[in-house]
Formats: sequence, structure tokens, C-alpha cells
Amino acid sequence: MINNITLGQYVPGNSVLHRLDPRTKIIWTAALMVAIFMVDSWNEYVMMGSFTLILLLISGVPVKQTLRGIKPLVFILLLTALLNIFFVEGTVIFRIGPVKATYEGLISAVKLFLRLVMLVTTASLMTLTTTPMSMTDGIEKLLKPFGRIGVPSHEIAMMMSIALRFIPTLLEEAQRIMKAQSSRGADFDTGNIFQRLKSFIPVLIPLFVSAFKRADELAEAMESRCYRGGEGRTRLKTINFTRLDLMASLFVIVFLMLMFGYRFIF
Amino acid sequence: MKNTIKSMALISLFAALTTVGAYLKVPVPVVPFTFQVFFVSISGILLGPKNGAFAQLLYAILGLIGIPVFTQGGGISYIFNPTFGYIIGFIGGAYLTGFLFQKLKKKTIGGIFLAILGGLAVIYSLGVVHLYVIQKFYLANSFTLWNAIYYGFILCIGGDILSSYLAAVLCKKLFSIQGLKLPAITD
Repeated sequence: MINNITLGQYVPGNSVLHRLDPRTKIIWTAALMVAIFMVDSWNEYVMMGSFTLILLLISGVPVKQTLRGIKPLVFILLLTALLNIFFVEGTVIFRIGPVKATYEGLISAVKLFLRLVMLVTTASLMTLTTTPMSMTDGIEKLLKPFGRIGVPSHEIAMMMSIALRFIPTLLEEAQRIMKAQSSRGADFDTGNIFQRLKSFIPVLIPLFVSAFKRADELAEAMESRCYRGGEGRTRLKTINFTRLDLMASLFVIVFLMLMFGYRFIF
Repeated sequence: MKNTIKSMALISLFAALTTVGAYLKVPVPVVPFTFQVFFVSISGILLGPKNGAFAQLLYAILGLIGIPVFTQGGGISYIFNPTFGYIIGFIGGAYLTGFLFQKLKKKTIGGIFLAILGGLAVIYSLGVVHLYVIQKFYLANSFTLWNAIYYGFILCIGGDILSSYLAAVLCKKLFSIQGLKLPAITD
């Protein structure tokens, strides 16, 4: 599990979505999410839904993987659906004692459910088809114009890479310290809440001490290799805005115009 | 320059430590809790308000780009998770805790504890507001502010107050370790 952490939700592949520039993906994912919030009539639901489905099919990511994003929300979704069906006023379909299910409630529950599924699918597709490292590069490039107002885009990207690199290390270290302390008689699983919390002190202190040491060593290593920020830095893998990105952008723009354009015409 | 490289390394490591906090679960009956808030407070105290908040911002970004650093995974869709407000709150919480800590004249356990409680207030108010808004979006009218306060605050504040006290005790201990260079003291 620990080894997979830094890959995040990325599913390897070579689809069009995988090959797009991360910047393209970030921008259009944001636009599509806003669009999904604006979806209102059934026509729009159908259009947006099929668009999301097309993206999902293009990506080649297993549907199961995408639906994983919905899992933590399932409980709320069910509760919501029930509350909507039974508490929204309107035409009664059937009654169970004092509570009545209404047609309007059913409709709003279905719409809410669809909207959420579309939102989660669109959002997950971005993280499913982009590695964290190229996402980091994309964020750095996107934030660059804000450098003038003091946003340290390169530093943010650099720190993201460092944190990504150290998350597995520190997790492993925490587990190792816990095992080491258990072998010396530490007890994490019994006693009341105060005792349990207190038993974590011998884990946390070594964890902090080693984290500080690592930070020191890392800073020294960076300095001795003449790290001096992002200026003039070259990279092994560059991200480029290609023709594919242009086509994809046009595709999304045309779709959004078709979808919302008719609102103004009719 | 030396200072910025060092603080960059520290900020990244504290973002990583907060992840460790999300994975360290204390198995208490009823409401199990994690060490996230604990690391949030400590990052504010040891890195100072600005860098502490930065570490938490980094943590939030890492989660949003899909790294499973939050208690229930990660990914952009986490914004719709009812608990996302707390993660936004971590940024403000770390800042306020660090700020209050710097204002303390005497760094006693009690004083540190109060500084942490200040940060905790920020975390919880943002958490409850987000919970309320998101539930309002899901449930239309049947979710009241009182519900949000009950589920988002009263049920889970206990464990976090305890872990805040632990954070205060631990800070005091860290300050007294000989030969340990602490960022907040050296910078």
C-alpha cells in the first residue's frame, strides 16, 4: 500500500486523455465542473451525461476505478435520496403511514444523484489519467503568470515533489518506530483514552527528531548541488501544448457552446 | 538563501507528516480519531504561522491532485466530501496557532495549549460551515445549522482537544531536548 501512495489514483495508459498536457486537463476539468453545476433541464442532463460517458470511454480507465470516487459519498447519497423523496412537497405517489413519497421529490433525488455522479466522474478522470509528477509540472506552469503578485510557483511545485517523495518514507518510519517501541514493551491498544494517547509520545518524538534531521540533510544536499530556484532550470520531461491539446480544447469549447448556446437562442 | 531552502524542506516534511497523522488512528471506541489536527498545531508552532499554513496548503493540494493523503483517500472530488472543510480549516488553524504561539510571553504547557485551541476553533468553524453548505446542497432544507454543529463539532471535538493537549506536552518536551535544532527557535 505504502509503495502505491505516490502514484495516487493514476491508472497507466496511452489514451488521448493520458497524452494531453496536464494544463489542458486542469483547465477544462474546471470548466466542465462548473458546467455540470449549471445543468438544469433533462435535455442538458442527457447531453452532459453522454459527454461524460464519452470521456470515460476514451480514457480506457475501468469504470470500477472511476466509481471508487463515489464510494465515500454513497451513504450521504442514499440518505439524500430518501429525504428528498419523502420530504419534498408535491404530488403523492404512495404513502407509508404518515410519510408520503412525492413525484417531485423523486425527480429531484434522481437529478441530484446524476449530477453528483457526473461531477465525481469528470473530476476523477483528470487524476486517473495524469501522474502526480506531471500534475505538479502543470500546476507550476499554470501558476507562473501569478509570480508577479508573489505566488512562488516553482517553490510550490518543488515542495510538492519533496513531500511526495517523503510521504512513503515517513509512513514507513512511523510504523518502524511503533514496532521498535512495541518490542521494548510499549502498549498502544489497551488502557483508557488518556493512556493510549500518552503511549504515542515515544513514537512521535523520534518521528519529529528524524524529520528535522531529514530536512537538514535535504537542505544541505540541495545547496551543495547549487539549487537556486526555478530560474533557468531545464527538465528531463517537458510538457508541451500540442495539436492534440488544441483539438481537445476546441472539442470541449464546441460542446459547451452547443449545450448552453441554445439557452440564449430559444 | 540558506534559510529558504531549509524552510522549503521543512514545509514539505510537515505536509508529509500531516499525512502520517491521517494514517495514525487511535483505536478509541465510539469516535476513533486521527493525529491530523495534532500535526497541524505542531506545524504552526514549530514552523511559524506563515510556513505552518503553507505546509497545510501543500497538504490540501497534494490530496486534491489525487494522492491519498486524507483519511478517506484523495482526489478533486474530495471537495464534495462533507469533511473537506476541516482540511481548508487546517490552513487557517496552523496560521492562528503559530501566530498565538509567537505572542506567548512564557511558553508554558498551558499557554501552548490555549494557542492550539485557538487554531482548533478556526478548523472547526470552517469545517462546520462547509459541512452545513454541502449538506444543504444535498439535502435541501432538512439539514439545519444545529445538525451541522452537532455532527461536525460536538461529536468529534473531544478527541481533538485531547490530542491538542498532547501536542502542547510534546512541544514542551521537544523544546527541552538538548542539541535538537528546532526551526522556530533557530530561525
